Amino acid sequence: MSPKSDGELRLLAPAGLKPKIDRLARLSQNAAWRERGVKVSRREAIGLGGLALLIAGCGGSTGGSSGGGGSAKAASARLEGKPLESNLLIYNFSEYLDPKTRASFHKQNPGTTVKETYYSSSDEMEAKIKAGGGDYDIIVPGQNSIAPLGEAGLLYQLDHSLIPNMSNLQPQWKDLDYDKGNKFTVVKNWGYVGFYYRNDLIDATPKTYMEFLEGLPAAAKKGRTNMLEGTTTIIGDTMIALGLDPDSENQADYDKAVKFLQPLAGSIKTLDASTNRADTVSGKIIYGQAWSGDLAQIAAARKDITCVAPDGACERFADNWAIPAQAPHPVAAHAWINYLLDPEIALQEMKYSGYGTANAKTWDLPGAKKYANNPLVNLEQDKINGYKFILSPTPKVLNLRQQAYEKFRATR
Amino acid sequence: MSAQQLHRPAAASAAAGEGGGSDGPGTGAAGTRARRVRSFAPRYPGWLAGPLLAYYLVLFVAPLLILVAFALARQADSFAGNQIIYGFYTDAFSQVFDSLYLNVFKQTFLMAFGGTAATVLVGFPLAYWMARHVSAKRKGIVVLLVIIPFWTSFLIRTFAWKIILDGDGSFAGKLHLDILYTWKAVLIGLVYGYLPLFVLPAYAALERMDWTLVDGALDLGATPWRAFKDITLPLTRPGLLSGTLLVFIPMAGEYVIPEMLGGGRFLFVGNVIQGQFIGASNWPFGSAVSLALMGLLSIFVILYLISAMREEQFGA
Repeated sequence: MSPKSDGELRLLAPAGLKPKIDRLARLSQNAAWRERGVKVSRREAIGLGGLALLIAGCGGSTGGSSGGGGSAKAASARLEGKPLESNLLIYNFSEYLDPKTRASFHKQNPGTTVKETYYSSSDEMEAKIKAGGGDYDIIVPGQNSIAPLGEAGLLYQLDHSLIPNMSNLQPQWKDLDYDKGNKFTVVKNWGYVGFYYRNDLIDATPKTYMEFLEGLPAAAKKGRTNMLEGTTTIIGDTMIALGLDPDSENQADYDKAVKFLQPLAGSIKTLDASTNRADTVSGKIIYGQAWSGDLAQIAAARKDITCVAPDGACERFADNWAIPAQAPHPVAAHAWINYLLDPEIALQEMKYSGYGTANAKTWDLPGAKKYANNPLVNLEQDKINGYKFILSPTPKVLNLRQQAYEKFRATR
Repeated sequence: MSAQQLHRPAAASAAAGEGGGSDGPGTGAAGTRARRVRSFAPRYPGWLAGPLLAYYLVLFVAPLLILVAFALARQADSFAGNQIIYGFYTDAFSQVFDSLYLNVFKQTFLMAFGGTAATVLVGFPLAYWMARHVSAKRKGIVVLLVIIPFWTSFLIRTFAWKIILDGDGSFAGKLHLDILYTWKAVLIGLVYGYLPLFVLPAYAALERMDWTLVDGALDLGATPWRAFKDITLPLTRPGLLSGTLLVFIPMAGEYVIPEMLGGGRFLFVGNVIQGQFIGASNWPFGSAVSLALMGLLSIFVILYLISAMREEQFGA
């Protein structure tokens, strides 16, 4: 079984099964000759026979896909030295990856076709991966998706020998609490949840996230206010502002957040996380919460909008490259992650998305100067340290947060 | 009552017409084993129901049972291992009775009732006009005009309302209308989205009606209102009721319209179900809410069936 030709049928089976497979091939070949007068190669014969076995329901995948973590480890051990597969399917947020990057990866690896499909929220992606849907090779989970996916054995254990560029990462973005030892993930980019306001219409100058929330009623009188739809951005971020643990398992903490938000409900005109940036740039939203990448782009587009990286506590997030445990093209997926850790590529991505990169070498490039001087993209470490990750460690936290979110949304 | 009796021949001939269709393959079987009392009716070959039965079992009964199994299960305490613990737990169902969710049900049904009433208010005069006042030549075109919106995706049509109702836009802005992201916008969306589903059955009922009865009543000195109340309305009631139900049920289960036109701030039961399945990964509770919604809607279907049966009794 040489790994050269791509049309070749490669079987992964215990060595003891070889005589049986040979017999299967002979039987299939004979049958094909008898019934149809067709000569089939040994390879095709095994394929046909295997198919027949599968259909008969006894194609025993002896000890195949059971026990997620263990098999992932075993599989990754065999990746080194293997060629890239012919396809790579990326499942990502929309407009979160420069199409040029896809093209240049394909140029470097002409044998691999790269395709991308999109989801609108991490929840959607998580639900799909949990349900076993999709043959994705790369997903982009946020830090709060790592526990639900990793603990359920749905993530591929990374083979670090295939990602030498990992050494380019800034040390503070390696070995993070949500993924010790970068077992499953590599940071794609990080960000925070800040806010913006129209400086020609709003008199106040909010600096902290709490001041932003408190300014909602006055702003709602001047125009449309928006907050990002989602349980973390509404409930989690409010809990951070109130000094509570956003991953609390205590019902009372969530009640406090709801109690604080309910009087503000009427002042939050819309909950939208999909067209909010466009609506802000076109002047429809005058006061809103936003992800940092969008803040950088809004600030660049309009001078009458002040964008703020909050002082004090607010939400910090990190989006990560990860490989689903069942990914059909793991070698290409590793190559992809390694490629995106190239300093030049990381710079290109920062330009496209507006999110700060975690790549240390990128910041040394001349093209990165503009971003290094941008207070919305390149924050002092002290400020970042004050921002908190929301991790969603247990189903109970998800339920409490969801229920609090519904209470808020049902408030008229 | 006379109106009901006069209506009967039409219904009978329609039934005969249907029977005629299955005449060919049916008669042979009826001849050999004619056990039925009404032997004159062509026998319906039972196997023809096979595909429907299979469809019904696989795509309705089986998913419903799965839903019940989910609703009686429990969510695991950790992300590791199985996320759903099957059994006979009632936690999910009792959570439905939390005041928060009862409130969401109340709000949803209020909006669905309001939306249905508004749809009837807009749709009935239209259906009446189509049946009574449009010349036979043009009827086809008018019906087509009612159906045409269905050629475009529901999502796109709803999104279009976002542009129309935009307070800064070129339409609502000029009229100084600032209702986008309020319940009024949601109501407009509901009526717009489901109007054809009411107009078509209402039109069919009005169209089939024998209008000479109304002319007769008017000749005999009835006021137009009286003729409408005593003749048109009773005769078309089944059609109107089925049209009403046809819009009420999907309105109560609506998800997209409140999400888009309510600015995400308007919570329907459908939005709760979505949030529980996708956001909280709480399939048991999401299933319980779905079943509760189905149960509540079934009450209305049963009421309709009772009223329809009573109608039939009068007719026969």
